[in-house]
Amino acid sequence: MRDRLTPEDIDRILSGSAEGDARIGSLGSLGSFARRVRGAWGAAEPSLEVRDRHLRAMVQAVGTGPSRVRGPILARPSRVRTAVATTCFVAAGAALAAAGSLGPAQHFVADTVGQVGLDLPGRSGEPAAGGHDAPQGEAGKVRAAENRQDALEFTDAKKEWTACVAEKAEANGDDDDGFDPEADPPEGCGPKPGPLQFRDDVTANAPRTANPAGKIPGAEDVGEDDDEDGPLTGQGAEGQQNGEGKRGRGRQGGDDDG
Amino acid sequence: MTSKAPVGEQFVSVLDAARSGADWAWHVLYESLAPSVLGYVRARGAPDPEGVCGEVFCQLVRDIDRFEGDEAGFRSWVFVMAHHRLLDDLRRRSRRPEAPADPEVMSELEAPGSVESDVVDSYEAAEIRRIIDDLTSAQRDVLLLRIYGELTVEETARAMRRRPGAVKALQRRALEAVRRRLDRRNPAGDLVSN
Repeated sequence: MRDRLTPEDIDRILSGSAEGDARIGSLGSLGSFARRVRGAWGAAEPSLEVRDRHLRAMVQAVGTGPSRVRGPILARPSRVRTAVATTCFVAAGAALAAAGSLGPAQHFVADTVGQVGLDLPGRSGEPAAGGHDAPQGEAGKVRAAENRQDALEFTDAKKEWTACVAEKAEANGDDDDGFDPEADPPEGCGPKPGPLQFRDDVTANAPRTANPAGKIPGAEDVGEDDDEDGPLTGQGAEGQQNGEGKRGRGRQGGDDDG
Repeated sequence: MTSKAPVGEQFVSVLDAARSGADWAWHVLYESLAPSVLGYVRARGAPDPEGVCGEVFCQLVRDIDRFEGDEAGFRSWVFVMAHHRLLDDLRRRSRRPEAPADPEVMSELEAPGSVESDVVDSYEAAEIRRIIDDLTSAQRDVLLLRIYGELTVEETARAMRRRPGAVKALQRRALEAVRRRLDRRNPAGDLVSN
């Protein structure tokens, strides 16, 4: 007599549902094979100690894993997230630049933002941070402090404006991918703040400097009509779309070639 | 006998809660799968089955957002992860030989005070272990993934990066070898499979 092992037989054997099946019983001891395999390695229940250890590690991973999304800001749609992240970036950069704390990048930043009327320490051609006649550092410190204050006020205003835009967008259900910094702001949020609004110079067009003689060598006057979104305000930063779209949720494993 | 405690109808809500970071949801998922995963890595000869099991669940936590599917798919996904983790662990240990695996596994199994132990008599258990260990590595993987993981042929094929046809052939040959050992039959002409 020839015993046949059909694919269905195999499936039943391996699933454990073949035990007691007369058909499988004719094939010897295979009917109870799955049960005996599971039993051969003893109780597979983790001990309480092991279970607690595993669960603690999982809880830790929950708190630190990259997929964990916590907090209202990060939970918002990508457009809003982009706007908030961009504002934080701009605010941080502005504050650092105003304080002269950007290190090697200070010259570059100071030069570029000088084109929109903000005068930061470290611009190219400056003999010293302190300016022309003032003792080394003193005028620069004063200027840096004033610039820092301006920058903080500007970034605060920008943050408020951005938060307003984000709220309006969320309220409108506008969660399409990407944030367009050039789009008209929604009603109720006012115009987009610009750095020149926070200057209290009489001649707002003139770059602030400790040098009473006026122009810093290499600087150019920038009128209020010019683009307020100079590099400091993140034309480069805000223009960078956060490429984050929907998360990929592909199923584990390769092609289904069954 | 391993505990099969599928989450059932609540799976979707449990999964969503787990994604949100709810500890209770992770407890549920762990309880439903840990016994099977642990049994599988033990049967597969992992020197540190509990360590591998822990790594599997931590990876599960990190990658949970990548999963999409039902509970059966989730179980399959976890076992694919367990299989790969196990292979990595075995590969790593083969480069740095440590204490033999079997004695450690045996000592864990035979620890006193195992109240919920479901071990058959020691002789039969040892015989089953010998039979499984005598299979080829691929045959062993197929049988254990299908028994512990309850994977289908297709899911097993994906886990092992083989074709389903190859998996079917492996499981058939494995069961034939098992049957010969269990029944002590003459292999020549005793079994004809479809």
